Amino acid sequence: MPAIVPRPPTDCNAERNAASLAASAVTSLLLLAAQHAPADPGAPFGIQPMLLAGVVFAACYALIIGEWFNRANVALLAGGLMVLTGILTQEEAVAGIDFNTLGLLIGMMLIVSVTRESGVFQFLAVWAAKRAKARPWGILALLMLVTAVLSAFLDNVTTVLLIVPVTLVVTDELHVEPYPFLFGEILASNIGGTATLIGDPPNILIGSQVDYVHFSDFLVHLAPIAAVVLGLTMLPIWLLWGRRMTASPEARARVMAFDEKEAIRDVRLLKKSCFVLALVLAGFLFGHPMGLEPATVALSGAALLLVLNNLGKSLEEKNDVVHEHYGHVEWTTIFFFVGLFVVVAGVEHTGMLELFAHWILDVSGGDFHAISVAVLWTSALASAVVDNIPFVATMIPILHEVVDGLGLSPADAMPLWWSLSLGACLGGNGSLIGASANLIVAGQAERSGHPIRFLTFLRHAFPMMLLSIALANVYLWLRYLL
Amino acid sequence: MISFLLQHGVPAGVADAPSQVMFGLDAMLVAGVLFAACYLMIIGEWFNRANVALIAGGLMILTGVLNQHQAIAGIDFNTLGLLIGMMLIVSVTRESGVFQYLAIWSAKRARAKPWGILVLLGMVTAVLSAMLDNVTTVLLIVPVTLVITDELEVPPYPFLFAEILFSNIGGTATLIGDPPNILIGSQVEYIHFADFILHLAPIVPVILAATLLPIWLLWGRKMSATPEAMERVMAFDEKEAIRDVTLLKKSLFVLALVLVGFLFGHPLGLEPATVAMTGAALLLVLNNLGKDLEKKNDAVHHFYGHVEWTTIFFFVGLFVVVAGVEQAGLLDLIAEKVLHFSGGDVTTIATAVLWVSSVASAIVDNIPFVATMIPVLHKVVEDLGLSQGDALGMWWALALGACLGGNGSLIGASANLIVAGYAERAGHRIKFLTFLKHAFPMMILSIVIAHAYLWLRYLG
Amino acid sequence: MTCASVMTPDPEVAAPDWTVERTVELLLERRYRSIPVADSDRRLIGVFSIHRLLALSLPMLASEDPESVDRLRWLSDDLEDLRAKLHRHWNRPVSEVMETDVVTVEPDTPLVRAVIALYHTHYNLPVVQADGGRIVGIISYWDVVPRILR
Repeated sequence: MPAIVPRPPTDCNAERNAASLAASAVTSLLLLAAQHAPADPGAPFGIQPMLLAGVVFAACYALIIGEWFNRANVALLAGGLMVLTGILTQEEAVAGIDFNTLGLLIGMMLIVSVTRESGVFQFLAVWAAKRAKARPWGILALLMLVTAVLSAFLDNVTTVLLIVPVTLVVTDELHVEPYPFLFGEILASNIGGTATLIGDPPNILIGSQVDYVHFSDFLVHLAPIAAVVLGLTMLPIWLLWGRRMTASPEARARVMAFDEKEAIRDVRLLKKSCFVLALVLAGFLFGHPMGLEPATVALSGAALLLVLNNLGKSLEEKNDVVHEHYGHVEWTTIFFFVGLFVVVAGVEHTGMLELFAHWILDVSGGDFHAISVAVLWTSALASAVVDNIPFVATMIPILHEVVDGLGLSPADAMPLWWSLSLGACLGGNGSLIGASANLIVAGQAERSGHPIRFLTFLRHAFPMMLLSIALANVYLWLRYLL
Repeated sequence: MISFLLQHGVPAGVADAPSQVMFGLDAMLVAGVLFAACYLMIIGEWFNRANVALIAGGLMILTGVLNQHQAIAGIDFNTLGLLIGMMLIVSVTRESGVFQYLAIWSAKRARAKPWGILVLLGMVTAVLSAMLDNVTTVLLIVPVTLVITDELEVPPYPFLFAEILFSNIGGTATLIGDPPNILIGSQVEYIHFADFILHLAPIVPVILAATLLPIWLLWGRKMSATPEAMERVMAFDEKEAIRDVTLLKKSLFVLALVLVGFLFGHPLGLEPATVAMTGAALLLVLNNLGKDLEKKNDAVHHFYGHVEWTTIFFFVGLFVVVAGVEQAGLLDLIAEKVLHFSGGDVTTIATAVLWVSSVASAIVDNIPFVATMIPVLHKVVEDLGLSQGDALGMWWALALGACLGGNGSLIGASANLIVAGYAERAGHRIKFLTFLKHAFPMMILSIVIAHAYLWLRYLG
Repeated sequence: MTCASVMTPDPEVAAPDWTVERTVELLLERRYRSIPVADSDRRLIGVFSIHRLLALSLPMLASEDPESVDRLRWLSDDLEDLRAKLHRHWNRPVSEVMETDVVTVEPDTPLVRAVIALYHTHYNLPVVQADGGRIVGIISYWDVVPRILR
């Protein structure tokens, strides 16, 4: 019984204005690039590669923001242009693709797609709804809390893959608009992911490329502020939507009458799924010292679960089932990432991102406090516009240089890395393309008939992101920089 | 395999391979056991092959034979991008109805005479197979074939038989025609799209003609249909098969662009994966023109869903498994043995490669076989100090053996199984042994022709 | 409400060795949408439906492709041709052409699940015993629709 939710009226002029604003921001970056770019006589058609890459990059983002085309097509075509114009070779383009992220995404999508067959997520939905006595705001708050906690220990993408289908079932049953729920979960997933090394890709990158930052450091230094930010994010959500949310007593009674135990369709599959999920979690938690990266863990876990799920079937059935689960993977999201990674590799290759980061450092004049604050805000704003993984990967060697140049001890350098982590993770909340989890939620919402508009999300999420960064700034200042 | 490993141990000169892995075991032993187990499971067909390959690949990393970085470096993304791109392009193009049009057109062109239809449908299958993958081609041609044989009330087996053979023979002609060629084309830097056309396409028509002769002797000369039945086929309106003329034009435009990219892209630094993926994205955009965003997203999602992801991930797992045995030094060892037994003679090696790969491909899937053979042959070429021109004969032997060998049995190639599956559901079961009895001698005939061609042009 | 309370008990069944001709004649005579195929102990082994009958009279290309209404406009067959195709299956045992992957319910299954199943299938829903798989009843549209409306 799908709820018929009227789509919010779209304000075309506002969209055009915001798109032209974003375009003018990119244009000023391009001018900066044009000023600093070294002359390269061997460039294609005699054009500076930095300018060319910048134009492809800007066009790609303008088309993604404008939402005129499917974003996977846009990103792939822009990535193809990066190779076609000679900015990158195919080898360099492939090297720019983060296959660890892709493998992790595909593997977890497969595991979730098999696990959901057991009915455990429907069980969770019914359980959570009844636990909150089927009150919409109670369910929203409870699901946000669960999302944040799970995000800290699973990656954000996995968490939202677990929670969003559950949420859509509940909002459908209650006949309430799913957007505030999905919005709250996107924010909670990025905030929760900030708390641990494995919570968010920027943290994984920092944890593995900075020798003196370990798993426990993230818990000690980042988990406290993540809890505060989560609490304060719920306030505007309550003001915007929560206080007006209602469900009819009949709808609530229907939800309360559901028997969550009946939701479990296949107890044996549930056990197999829980076994594999536990293995995969253990692999994420303890695999790193053994050289096991998330993509290996997730894809091997997925293949194992598919084999366990297939036991006792005929070969033809086995092949059909495996084919079906691979079909459930969000391939358009995966290929959006592929294209985006290539586009970012293109601008990175021409030195444009580095130029941007250096410019921030120059402006701060070598003052450590200023640099930390600049890193926090720069990464926050950048992560809201571009994917934070390539950005953080570029920032890490630059910050290593800064730490060396300033002669800082590991302990003194810590705040710089926390600035990067907080900025990049929380900054992901700034727009719909700010973090992987956002895109995954948008993809799922789209497939279930509740598309999330880029600009609608931006209008709500960007101010809340700024609020969280202001809080992080205060925290960094009080704890480290005073 | 295991006793072979125990006797020979780790060869000297494998500097960067870990000699010991998890639990202090010998790396080569672990890699060899995983490799052998993986092959056994694939041949035994107890599990889905993508699962088997992915788990074996995962175990290569878990046991420490490879780290994830090395595993990813072992995956040939050029092959994957090319496969995915072409699958997307075909899945959009077929919506236009052009393939049904071609099949009906050729039936009417043959004036609905059974033998003429068989020959023309076979030719259409061969030409399409050269440009699309074989499985897609037979999936497009076989259903229409069954409609026609049904109308003509002739047994469909000779038609399906010819289409299976012609799809594998036609696929031999180009880089994109068959997975073994895609693998060779993307993992041997000095072999490009045009080389396949220059070196393999000439022999393909000869093999096609030589295959038609026994088919005519066995079935063709006895085929007949009543005038009424032939009239029913002539009444088919092939123009009605074209569902979307605009899409047809867009598809042909993108297909032409992509073929031009394959042919002339290499000097510009354009690899097949870039060409195919960009072409696919372009066709998806063109196909979406005039739709609203939600419909666009649905259409793109739909077409990505049509990609054979289990095949793609079978490749992913297999590449990692092969990277594992390569890293552990096992493939170097095999290359040394090949050199040792052949006495370093190129003609002997190429001949052995041709016949071994054809017989192996008739029994097992040719994809894992070719994926394993490529690094072995690279090592052989390197150790013999062959120039690129001298090495060509060996690569063509591998391509011809692996592609044509797929005709040797019903399980020799994916396209064979797809046809058999479809025929069975339509109530025309193809028996394994019947097919073997007809196809194996014809496969041997084609390999003999290939052998003569290689000898005359490269080895003599 | 359970399936047992709305089902038609002890339905007529076809034996697996019945010919297609005999089964089709029974369907037409009784105006059934489908008939369960069961062995001599009334254990369910499949279902033969009007949907299968149409599939047998069409080329497989038409019955397998969900978009074939649009895609097979080139086909010139008339009703006589369809009849000829169906008649080629006339003497086959029904067990060769029936659907074997059949959705079933049990007598104590909640009725809402039968409604979901009827929405997704092309045949009347067999009600079978939990142990032994014997068919004890059948549920059609007309067993549930009046109860939803009322």
